[in-house]
Amino acid sequence: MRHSKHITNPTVTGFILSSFMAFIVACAPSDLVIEGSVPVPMIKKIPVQISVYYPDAFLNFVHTETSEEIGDWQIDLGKQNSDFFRSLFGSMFDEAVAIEKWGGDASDGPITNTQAVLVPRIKKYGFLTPFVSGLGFYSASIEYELTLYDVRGAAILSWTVVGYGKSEGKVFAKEEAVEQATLLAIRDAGARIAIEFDKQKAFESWFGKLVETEDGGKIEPL
Amino acid sequence: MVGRLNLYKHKLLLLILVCILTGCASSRVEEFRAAETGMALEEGLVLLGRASFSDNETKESFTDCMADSLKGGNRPLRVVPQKVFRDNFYPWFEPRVEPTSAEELKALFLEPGVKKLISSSNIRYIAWIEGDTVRVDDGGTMSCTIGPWGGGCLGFSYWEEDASYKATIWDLEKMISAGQISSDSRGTSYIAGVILPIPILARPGNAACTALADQLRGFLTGS
Repeated sequence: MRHSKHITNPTVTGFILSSFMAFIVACAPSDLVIEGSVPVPMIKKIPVQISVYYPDAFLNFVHTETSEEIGDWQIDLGKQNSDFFRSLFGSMFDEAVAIEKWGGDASDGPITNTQAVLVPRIKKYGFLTPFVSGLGFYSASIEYELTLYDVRGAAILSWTVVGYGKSEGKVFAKEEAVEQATLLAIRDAGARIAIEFDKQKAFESWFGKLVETEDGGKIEPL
Repeated sequence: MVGRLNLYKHKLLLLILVCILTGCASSRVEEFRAAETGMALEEGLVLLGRASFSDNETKESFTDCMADSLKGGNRPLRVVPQKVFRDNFYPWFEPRVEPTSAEELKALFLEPGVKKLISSSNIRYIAWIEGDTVRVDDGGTMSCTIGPWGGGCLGFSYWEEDASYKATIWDLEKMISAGQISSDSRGTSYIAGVILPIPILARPGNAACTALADQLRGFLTGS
């Protein structure tokens, strides 16, 4: 009887402890910083020098969500977005210079040495867990808005791009799955921006005029 | 004579035991060839899962399984990892912009740097993998209880899965679609609850992976 007691106690204690740990892990708030590789796009550069203004809301974007179904989530996309878009715009344009200040018009001072100002914004971010969607994967979507201004502050183009990503779900790795889906959503939007930006009608029209007005044909047509 | 009979009995029992414990999955493979193929030792292949953003898209675990299978065996192939390929060729092989036909591939090769990088990476083939493993039937009941004095399961449950996959092979040297291979595997898994739950698992996904990888190796190398 005494022998039996010695065997049972650690087993029961272990079971209770592991159940308690599983409960704690399942209920703990998910605080997530999105981090991943930043691929360099292999595309033909657009022959334009631009300034890029990254608003604070873009650089420090944090998504928070609380619900009974999915619990508490805090997802920090800021650094990954910043690194990714700096690399993306650096590959897309002849020159892309980050500027610290941009008030939307030329009253903030002239933008020197560049031909336009590009401002990326995040309009929406959302994610779905298998529990909510009823599907066997985690998914994330990000809606970006890219606005291109001329140096006087007039809007040339305002383009909304939605990136979508999904990841296979794992029982005790929900944060990892959401992170993976978010990284894929950023990549997906980036791919569309890299390929389709210079095919936007408003951009083509502005670029055509820029080529005509430049002296001596400094800019090659697209 | 008696000793040999015993040996046969043991082998038969072992075979039955293995079959019971692993479950049974049957596979059917079909091949359509549109062009002659061949692959030198130093030439590479990349397996890309088609992502349609629907529920039934090819899981990365399936293409990883095929890559592992192709990298081993009597005639190992040089398989370029999917992630490395997609990173190197970003943004051209991302799910929503990737080429969907050999004609689109030809257009993609006109983009600066793409053809050169394919040549320098010595990648000869792309195999697009499409398909999924789905549950087609299930039944039975099993209940498990657990309490301070112990626990146990009682009952019987089963489910049948169908793993249906297709590989479309593009020859990057000839810029054509060289053919298609499809694999269909079915298997029924069981769990019998006799105090302890005893699983007898069929793995049609694994069977489809192995069958498709073997057929693809033969298709590319002629072995």
